[in-house]
Amino acid sequence: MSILGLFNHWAFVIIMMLGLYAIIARNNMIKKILGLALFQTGIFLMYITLGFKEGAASPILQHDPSTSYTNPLPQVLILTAIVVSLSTMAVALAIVIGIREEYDSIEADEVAHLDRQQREPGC
Amino acid sequence: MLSFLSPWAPHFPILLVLLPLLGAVLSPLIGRGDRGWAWAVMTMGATTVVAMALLLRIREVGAVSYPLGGWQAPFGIELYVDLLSAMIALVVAAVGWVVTIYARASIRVEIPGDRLGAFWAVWLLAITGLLGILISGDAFNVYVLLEISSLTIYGLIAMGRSRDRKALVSAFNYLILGSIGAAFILIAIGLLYAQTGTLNMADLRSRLLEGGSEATVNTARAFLLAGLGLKMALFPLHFWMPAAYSTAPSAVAGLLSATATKVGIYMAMRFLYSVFPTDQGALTGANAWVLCACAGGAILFGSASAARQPSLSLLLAYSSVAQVGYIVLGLAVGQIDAMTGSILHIVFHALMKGGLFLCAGIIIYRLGGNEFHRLAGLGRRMPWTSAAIVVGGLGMIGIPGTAGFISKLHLLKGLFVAGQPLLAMLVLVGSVLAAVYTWRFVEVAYLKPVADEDSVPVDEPPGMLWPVWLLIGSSVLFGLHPAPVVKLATEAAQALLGAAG
Repeated sequence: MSILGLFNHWAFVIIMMLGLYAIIARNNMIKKILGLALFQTGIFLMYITLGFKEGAASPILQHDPSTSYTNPLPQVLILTAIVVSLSTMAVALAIVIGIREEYDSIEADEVAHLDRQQREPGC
Repeated sequence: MLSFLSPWAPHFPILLVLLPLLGAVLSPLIGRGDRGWAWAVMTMGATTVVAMALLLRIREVGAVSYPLGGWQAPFGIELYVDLLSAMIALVVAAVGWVVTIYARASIRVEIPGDRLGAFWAVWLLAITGLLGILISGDAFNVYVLLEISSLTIYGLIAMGRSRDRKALVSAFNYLILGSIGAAFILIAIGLLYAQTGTLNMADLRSRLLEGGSEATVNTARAFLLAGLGLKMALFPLHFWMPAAYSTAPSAVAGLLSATATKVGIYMAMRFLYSVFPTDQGALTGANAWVLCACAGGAILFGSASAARQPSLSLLLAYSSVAQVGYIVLGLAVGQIDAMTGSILHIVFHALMKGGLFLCAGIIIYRLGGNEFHRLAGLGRRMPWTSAAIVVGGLGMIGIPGTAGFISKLHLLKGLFVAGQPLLAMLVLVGSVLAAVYTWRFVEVAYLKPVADEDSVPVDEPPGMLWPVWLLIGSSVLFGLHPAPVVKLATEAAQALLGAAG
């Protein structure tokens, strides 16, 4: 178990943090959504790594009884999580379309500025 | 009672999800306006009857396990309903039913017909997800159902755009934070699976008790608490909540305040006490301290902020931040009376705050908004609505005779027994602050003169008023005759802590 042996774990944390950074640092709402997608993808990698076994076959029954298989359960879970992530994306994009219609902008700071102006007319 | 349902008795758990799910799928075929509404009311009525029957059955035979498709746990997916989940499911279904009845008029003004779309389908799906979380015995299913309810709730909040375009922004912010929270919960479940190789909650518990890497389990618990903290709007992770509740359509705000955060709290109870191993049934060390600190912060910050808000909706939302604090405090202390207080407060707060948000909705319906400057002399303009707000506010303070008194009494007793007088003081300080923000409404509504004498009185739509009084009235009824609910909550708390001990 060297540092390199945990390569996937390092990778998933780094991908997640890149996504989180994009959510926090990017002003554009579409880029925030992309950051969220990246964040969720990192977790998928973690799950897939959980089920992986060195030199094992895909989980399809072979004739040779000594074959070892990778664990299919995490993959199935992640199929579901991908669907969830996709739906999140769809809802988020629909909301951003609405924001664009109402505010004529998808920059978080401009939208916040417009809201403040509405509250204190005359600024 | 309800004996005509007995042939279906073994299938009650799945019916609780199936009915609203089928209702949601069929609802676009039934129609939009009033027909869609009538369909939703019927669906929720049937769901409430099943939830009631399920609770009665569990009182007779104890917790129920339902193997989906006949595959036995831990290999198949299991539905598991005990007293706690059945109680909260009944609250979600019944309050959902009442709010659905109320929503007819309110939705008609707040959402224009061409935007209404599949509103009732989304509404029923949200309730499906919430009920599903309550009855699921499988950790990954909980995650999926949580996302079903969350995604539909983001959509419901965004529907508030016609009244206030800020609804879109608050829905977007809630979506980002809620998805991060859900992702944390997903990580936690992944770590638990890595440790044990199972996703069934009961099986997880028995394998975690056998031992294993403490670091993995603690990391999983930390991720889970952070994720659930976001979902239940626990201070300091609550920022999405006041914005979302004050801009969402009023019926949606009523539904969410009564059900969505409560289900998050239920998940915390379920995972912390029935999945993770605990010492002698109580949380110890960092977990307990972090939760108590967050809960204390929520009570002080939420109540103090509530008193300074410009509108009634925002006041109620910040008050909800504080109320979540009370519930989490009892949950974190883990003493039997405190836990009973928490469970009671979940039920009572759902009734009271649901009713209060619906009152705020009636005011929006008639006056176009509920900023305090519009509410001058409301006691004369809308006497029944104002009276309901005052009674609900007294419940928030915890005046004897209201339901809020019963739950806070148990919570205080538990805190003293657990040797936490400082936290008990905090609860009392929170009640004083609740008196301050309730007084603020009383002052505006009853002591200020009506700005425009011609507008006295404003007609209060009866179709919206009686659901409000049903919720507020039942909270008073439970305040005067608490014994049956207290008995149920005590048994639920015993089961929860007993399993942990």
